[in-house]
Amino acid sequence: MEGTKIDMELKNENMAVQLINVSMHFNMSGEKLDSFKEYFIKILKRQLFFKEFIAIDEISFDIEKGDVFGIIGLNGCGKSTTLKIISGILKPTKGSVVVRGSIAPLIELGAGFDMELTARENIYLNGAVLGYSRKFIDQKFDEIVEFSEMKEFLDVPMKNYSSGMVARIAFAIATITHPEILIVDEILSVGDFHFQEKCNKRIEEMMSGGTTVIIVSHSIEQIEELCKHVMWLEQGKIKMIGDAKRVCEAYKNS
Amino acid sequence: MLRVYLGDFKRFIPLLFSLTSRDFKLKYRRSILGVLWSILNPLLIMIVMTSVFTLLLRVQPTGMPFAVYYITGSTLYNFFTEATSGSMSSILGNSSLIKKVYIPKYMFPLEKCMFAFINMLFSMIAVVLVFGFYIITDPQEVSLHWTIFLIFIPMIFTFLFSVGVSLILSALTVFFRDMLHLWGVIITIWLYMTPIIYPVEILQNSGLTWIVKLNPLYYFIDSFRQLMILGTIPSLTNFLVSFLSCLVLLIVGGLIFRKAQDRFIMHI
Repeated sequence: MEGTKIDMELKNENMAVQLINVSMHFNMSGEKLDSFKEYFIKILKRQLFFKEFIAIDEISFDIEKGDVFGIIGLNGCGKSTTLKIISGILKPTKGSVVVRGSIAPLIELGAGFDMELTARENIYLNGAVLGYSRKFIDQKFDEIVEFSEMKEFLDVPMKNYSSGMVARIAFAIATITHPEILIVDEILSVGDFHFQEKCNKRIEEMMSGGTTVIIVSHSIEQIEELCKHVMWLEQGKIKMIGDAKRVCEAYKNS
Repeated sequence: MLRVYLGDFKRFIPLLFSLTSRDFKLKYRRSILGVLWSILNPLLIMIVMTSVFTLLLRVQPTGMPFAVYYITGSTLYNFFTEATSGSMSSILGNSSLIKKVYIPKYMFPLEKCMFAFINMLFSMIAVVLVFGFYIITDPQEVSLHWTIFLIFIPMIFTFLFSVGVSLILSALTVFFRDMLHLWGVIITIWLYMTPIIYPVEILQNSGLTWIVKLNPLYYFIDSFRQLMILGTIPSLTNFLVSFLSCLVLLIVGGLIFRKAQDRFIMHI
């Protein structure tokens, strides 16, 4: 990942993900300054000092290899920001991040789909977005289609798909490799009951295969069922971290 | 550090091709003539321009018919326009991807330049058609030279230059959407500062040649015409100016883009 600094103290090979004193600040510049005129007016008025919003405040935690790690918390507590920092989309304002292994982000299913294209074309496009080669997708194509059960609709533009159908294809592509780290953000709630079962089964398969899984969900039951460790975030700080049962109990009682 | 960058780049080469083929499919989807338009369009415009400029304004470039003169220049210039304008909004247009997955962000302007380059290759068919037409009908003025095999050099220079400009523009546009409107004006001014519809000799009497000489696109287009039509080898100065302007733009563009890219996500 670009720009990661490995401090001496960080060199623990058993950890899949390590965050040390990570902070993320956003500019809360009221309205966005998107034009020269606004920019110069603000400079003249000396208003160009943004109010800072601290999404994540000095958090540190480690995720062991093979762990199933849940992140819980209310809306806006910094869950998604944390995931984005881990997957390299956001660069933290302060602190360092170490990630060991390949990441398959399921941050939001269907990111990188072009709805004008057909499912067949999107499978290749999305595969490339995740960094897979064309040859690799050629090999896995049938497996993807089979898992998603979308064979009849392969050559239909995806704009005509329902969100559940999109999710099926996306899940099938993202889990086709056995990534070392899988990031799952609120996706298990899509698709019908039957497909959810299938997804859960596949995630469990991966977990037993040694993949580190990081899950964000509002469904506390799901977290309790799947995760070994849970982190509870509140306003950008760690409120509690540790054994899944213990943290979930505390969260439910709060 | 460099190894990390190159590794990243290698991993995402398939993405570059996938995005290009997506653009290609979307551009020609549901049009009957499809990719033929990339050939037809420059031909039709060339016919219009040739009629206006030779019949009405009586412009006559030295050493070649106006039609050949125009279509060689305009093909390269159109590539530049298409590449830079496409790249400008490439970061904004792919915001849904950038927000959700890690991808090296320079992939997006680079991809638009590649897409424009492929379109230019199709337009080259039109150039060859016009060229062939004059070889047959007007063999005294236009003939085939071995130097035609070297035309890829100015084409690559134009590509590298466009990538440099695109990196700067795509980064700036994220912060200042005004660029989208401003660039349309700049590119028109730039068009008239490049000898495409007028021969460069016209300027000599007015003392404006220096403006043209500051314009890297002039050097690319000039050597393209020399190699393709006149059969002469461009001067060393021409080559050096071309090379240096590409190098400078690529370095400056790369630096600006790298410095800005981490803040993109807050503005898209």
